[in-house]
Amino acid sequence: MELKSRYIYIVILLAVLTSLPLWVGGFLRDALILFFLYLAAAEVWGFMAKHAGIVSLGQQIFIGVGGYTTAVLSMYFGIPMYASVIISGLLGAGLAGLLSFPLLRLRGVYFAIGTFLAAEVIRLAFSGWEFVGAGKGLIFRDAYGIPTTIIYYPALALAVISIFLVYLLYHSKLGFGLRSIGADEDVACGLGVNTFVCKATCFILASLITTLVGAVNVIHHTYLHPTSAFSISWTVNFLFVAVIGGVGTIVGPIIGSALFVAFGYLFAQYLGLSLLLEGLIVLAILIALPQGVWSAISRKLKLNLKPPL
Amino acid sequence: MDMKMPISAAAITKMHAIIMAVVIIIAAVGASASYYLTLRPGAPEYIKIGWPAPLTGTLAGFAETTPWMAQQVEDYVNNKLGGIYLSEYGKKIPIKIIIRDTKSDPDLAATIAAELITKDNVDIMLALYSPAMTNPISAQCEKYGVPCIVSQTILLSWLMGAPYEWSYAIGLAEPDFAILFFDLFDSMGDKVNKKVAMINADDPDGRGFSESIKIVAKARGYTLIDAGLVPYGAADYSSYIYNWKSSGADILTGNMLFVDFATLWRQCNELGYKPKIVAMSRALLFPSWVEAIGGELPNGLIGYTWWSPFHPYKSSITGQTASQLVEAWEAHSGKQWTPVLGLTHAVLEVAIDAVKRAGSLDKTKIRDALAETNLNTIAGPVNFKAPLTPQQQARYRPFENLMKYKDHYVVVSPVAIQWVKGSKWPWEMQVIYNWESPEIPETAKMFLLS
Repeated sequence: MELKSRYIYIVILLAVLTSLPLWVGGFLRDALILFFLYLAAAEVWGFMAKHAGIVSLGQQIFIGVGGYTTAVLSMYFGIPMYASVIISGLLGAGLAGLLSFPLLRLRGVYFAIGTFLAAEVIRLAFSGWEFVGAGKGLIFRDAYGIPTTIIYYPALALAVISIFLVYLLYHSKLGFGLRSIGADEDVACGLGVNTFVCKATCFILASLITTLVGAVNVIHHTYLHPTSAFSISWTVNFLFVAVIGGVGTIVGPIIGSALFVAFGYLFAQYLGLSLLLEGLIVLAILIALPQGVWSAISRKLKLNLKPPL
Repeated sequence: MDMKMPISAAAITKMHAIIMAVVIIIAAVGASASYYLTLRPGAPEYIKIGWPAPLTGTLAGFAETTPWMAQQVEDYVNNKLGGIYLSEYGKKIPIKIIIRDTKSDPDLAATIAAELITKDNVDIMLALYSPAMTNPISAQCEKYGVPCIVSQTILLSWLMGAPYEWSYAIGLAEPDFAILFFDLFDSMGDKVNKKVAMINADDPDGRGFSESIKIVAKARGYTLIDAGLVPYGAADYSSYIYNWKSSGADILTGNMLFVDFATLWRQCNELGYKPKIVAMSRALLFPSWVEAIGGELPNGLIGYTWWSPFHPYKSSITGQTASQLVEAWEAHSGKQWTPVLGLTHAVLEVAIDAVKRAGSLDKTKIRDALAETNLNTIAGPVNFKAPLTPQQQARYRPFENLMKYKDHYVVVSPVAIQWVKGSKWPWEMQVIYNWESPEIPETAKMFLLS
C-alpha cells in the first residue's frame, strides 16, 4: 500500500515532466533539456566512479562520437535522425567495448589517465579528418528544424532511463560484483567475481548513455567542433554535477545538475568573472559539504535512505 | 526487487513530502515562467542586441574590448541620440546590449545564444571572434530565426554552415593572405631571391595557409623550402633552420601560434639564419604577442592587419574616426590598441542601422533591412549586395561557397604591416603595403632585415 502510493507520486511527477514543454516558455525548455542531459550522463558517471571504482576522465569520447555519428549519418548518408541517434548509441557502446580491452587492464588513476589520453588521441584524429570538417567543425543544418518541444522528450527519456539503469544495476547481480570490485578489486577477484566482464559491462552501459547524451546534444546545439566535442570539460562537468550533488547517489546528481545549469546561466552575466565565481562556489560547497548537497540534506532530515538513493 | 526491503513509515511520509514539494515547485516555476514570458507589452522597452562573447578562456584576448565598446555605444545612442527612432511605434526607443560570457567554449556559446533568444528575446545577435564562436552562435540564430551579424571570423569556415537565411558576415577570406604576401614579395623585385622558407602549425589554419602558399609560389616561380606542418610547442627548430640557411632562402613565411613563432625566431637568430623578409600569418596580429618575442628581435617583422588607426574611416554612429577610437580605448584602458577594435565597433553600427531602417522589431523586417545594408562603417564600407572585385573573383573562384553565397558576406581586405619600435608603445605597426585598398595610407616604407 505504502509502496503503491509512492509509485503514484512517481507517475504524477513523470506526467508533469512529460507535459511540461506544452506550457512552459522556450527558455525553460532549453534549460530543462540541458538539465536532463547532464543528469543522465552524471548519474552513470557517478555510479561508475563510486560503486565500481571506475573513474573515467574520458567520457567526452562518447559525447563526441555520439554527436559526430548522429550529424554525419543524417547529413551525409540521409539516415533518419532518430535512427542515426540509435546507431550512434550502438557505435559508442561498441567503441567502449573495444576500449575496455586495453584500458580496463589499468586500475584507478592509471585508468583515469588512460581514458583521458584516449580522448585526446580521438580529438586529434577528428581535428585532422576533413570528412567531418576537421578543425573547422561541423554545422548540423538538418537539426535547425527540430524544435525544443521535441528534443525535450529524448532528453527526458535519457534522464529517466539513466536513473532506472543505475537503480537496477545497483541491485543486480552485476551491481553486487561491481560494488565488491569497488571495495577491493583483488578480494573480489579472489571471491570469483569476473572483474573484467563486470567492469566492461558497466563501462559499456555508461558509455551508451553518454553517447546518446552527445547525440541529443548535437541535435539541440547544431554545431560540433573537435576541441569542444572531445573536451575534458564534459567529463569535468559530469564530475561536478555528481560530486556537488553527492557522488554515488541517485538524487545527488538531480540537485547537482539543477545547480550546474543554473550556475551556467547565472554566472555568464558577470563578465570576465564567470569562471572564477563558478570555481569559488564549487570550492565552497566541497569544503562545507564534502559528501555533496544531497548527502547533507538526507543526513539532516534523517531520511535513512537505503543506497543508492 | 525492493519489496523485500522494509521501509519505515517515517521515511515514507518524508518521501511523500519531498515528492509533493518537488511537484509543486516545478509547477509553480513553470507557470510563473510561462506567464512572465507570454506577457509582452505593446511598445518595446528596449531594442535588444545580444552579444555572447569569449570574455574568459583561450579567446579572451579577442573580446577584451567588447564590454567597453558596448557601453560606449549604448551610452551614446541612449543619452546623446535619445534612442533609435522606430517608425512602427512612432517614437525613439533606447538600445540595450546584453553581453554574456561564453568562456571560449563553443558548446556554451550555443547555450548562451539560445538563452539570449528564448529568455531575453533579443532582436538581433552579434557573433564575433573566430569560427569556434561565430559558427555555434549563428547556427542557433538560424535555428530560431533571429537576425545575426557575424564578424572577426574566417569566411570559409563560417560558410560551411551555408546556406544562411538569417546571418550576414563581415569577415576575412583565407585566400587573400597568401596572395597579399606574394604581391609584397614581388614588389621587392631583385632585392630578394625567389627562395621561400616555410613552416606552418599542424592545425586547420596552418594547413590551409600551407596549401594556398604552395599554389601561389608555384604559379609565380618561387622555390619553397618547406619544413612542413609542425605540432604545437616544439622546442627545437634547428634542423629546419640549418636547411633554410644552407639553401639561402631570403624569405621566411608561415602560419603559427605566436608562442611557437617566438621560439622559432629566437633560434633563427642564435643560429645565424638572417632572411631579408619575415612575413608571418597569425603570429604577429597583436602587439602583446610581438612584444613576447623579446629584445630587439621583433624589429621589422611583417604581418597583416584588417584595421588600424590609419584606416580613413569613421563611425556612422558617433562620428569618431579610427584614430579617435584608438585614442579613446587607450585612454580608458591604458592598453595598446588591437585590430579587433574596428570590427567590434562596426558590428554595432550595422546592427543599429538595420533596426533603424527596418523601423520595427519584427525579425523578418530587420533581416530584410540587414540584407540591404549599404553603410560606411569605421571598418570600411559594408554592402552585402556589392559584387566581388575582379581580383577577388579570380582568387575566390576555386572556393565554391565563397562564390555561391556572396550575398551573405563582405570581405575586409587585409593590408601588410611591419612592426617597428614605437613612440608610445614598445612595438607599433606601420602600414607598408595597402594592396587592394588604395584609400588606406602607407605610413612607412618597408625595410629589409639584412
